[in-house]
Amino acid sequence: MNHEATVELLSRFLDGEVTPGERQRVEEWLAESHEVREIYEGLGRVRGSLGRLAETAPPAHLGELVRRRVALEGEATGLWGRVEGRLRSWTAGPGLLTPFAVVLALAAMLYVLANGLARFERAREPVYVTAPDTRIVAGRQLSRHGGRWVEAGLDPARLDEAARIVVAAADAAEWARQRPELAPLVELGTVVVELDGEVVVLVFESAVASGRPANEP
Amino acid sequence: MTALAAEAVRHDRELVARHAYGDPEAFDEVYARFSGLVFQIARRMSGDDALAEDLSQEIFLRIFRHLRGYQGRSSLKTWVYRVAINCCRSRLARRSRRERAFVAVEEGRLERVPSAAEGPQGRLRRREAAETVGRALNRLPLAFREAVVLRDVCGLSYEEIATVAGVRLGTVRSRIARGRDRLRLELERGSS
Repeated sequence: MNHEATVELLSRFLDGEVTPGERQRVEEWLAESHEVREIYEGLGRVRGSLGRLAETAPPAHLGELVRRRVALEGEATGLWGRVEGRLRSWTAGPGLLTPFAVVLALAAMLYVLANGLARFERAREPVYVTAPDTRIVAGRQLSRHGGRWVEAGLDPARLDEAARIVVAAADAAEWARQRPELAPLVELGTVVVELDGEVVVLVFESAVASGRPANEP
Repeated sequence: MTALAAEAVRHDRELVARHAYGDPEAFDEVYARFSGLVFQIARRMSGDDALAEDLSQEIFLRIFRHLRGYQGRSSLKTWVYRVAINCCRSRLARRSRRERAFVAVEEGRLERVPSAAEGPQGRLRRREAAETVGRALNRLPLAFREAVVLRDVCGLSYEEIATVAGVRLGTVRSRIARGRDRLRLELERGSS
């Protein structure tokens, strides 16, 4: 053990700040080593002398000096110091400010929580995606694509080879009478449907000429 | 915390609340309770009566300014010790830089320390020895002086010193031991 560690242990032994094991080790050292005993006695003399240092009472005028300086300090802090003092005294002791602050904090937390939940609830509402450009007419589901109605499920590749049938305005009523199952299509303008296994583009000039919005038959 | 300690802390808090509320008698009570302790630390840390007076005023001014901030986590006494030690540290660190050269000249003039068993006037000599140790104390580095003063002059426990000085228990043990050892060596050198 080096000198510093030895001195530290002896110093703690002097103060009774050792474990039983350390105590035993120090007692053995003291019994065996003259050098350790000298160090220990020297440390003891130092401690004893420090403890015997005369406890001098503060000079009588010190209190007056302190009071004067404190009074000057008090004047310097002025009104704000007094206000601050009041505020601090409320927070230091069991005053009103602390419970008030706790209540305020709880209220704020509740508000944030409730507001957050409301937003969350709003977010959970189902989104109703309306599809105004899709409708079922004459038993066929039709979607609006670039100014014409196209039957759902048609292969886009077949649109290019589709036959085009133009029904003049004057013939529309007759056409509708002959194909009553397709009569409602007359109102739609241009419609792409599958008829008898063929993709057909039907152009009803009566509806196209009237300028009626395609989805407002 | 024992019931007695809890009662003491409650009383301390009340005292602080009164001070914060502007009751001048509260600070008078603080002064009455701690002036001896503060002056003793200032005197032993500075080794100079006039400087100790000055330091004591500074310490009480700090106490007056910051007493409202006392939270009651430790006893008011421990808190006062901490303020006093911090004040001494900052003031004496400035002084020690200025006076290092002077102290170096004084190094060679160590008084002879009589043994306790020396002659019939042992009591008087022990007192002289104490004063000699007191003077040697002034030559210790601040950190060691602080630990030794708090332990051997003020009688604080190792744990209390750790709280007051804001250091770990191991550091406290080491500083006390090294401080005492340096004093021992200085005194032995002086007596040889």
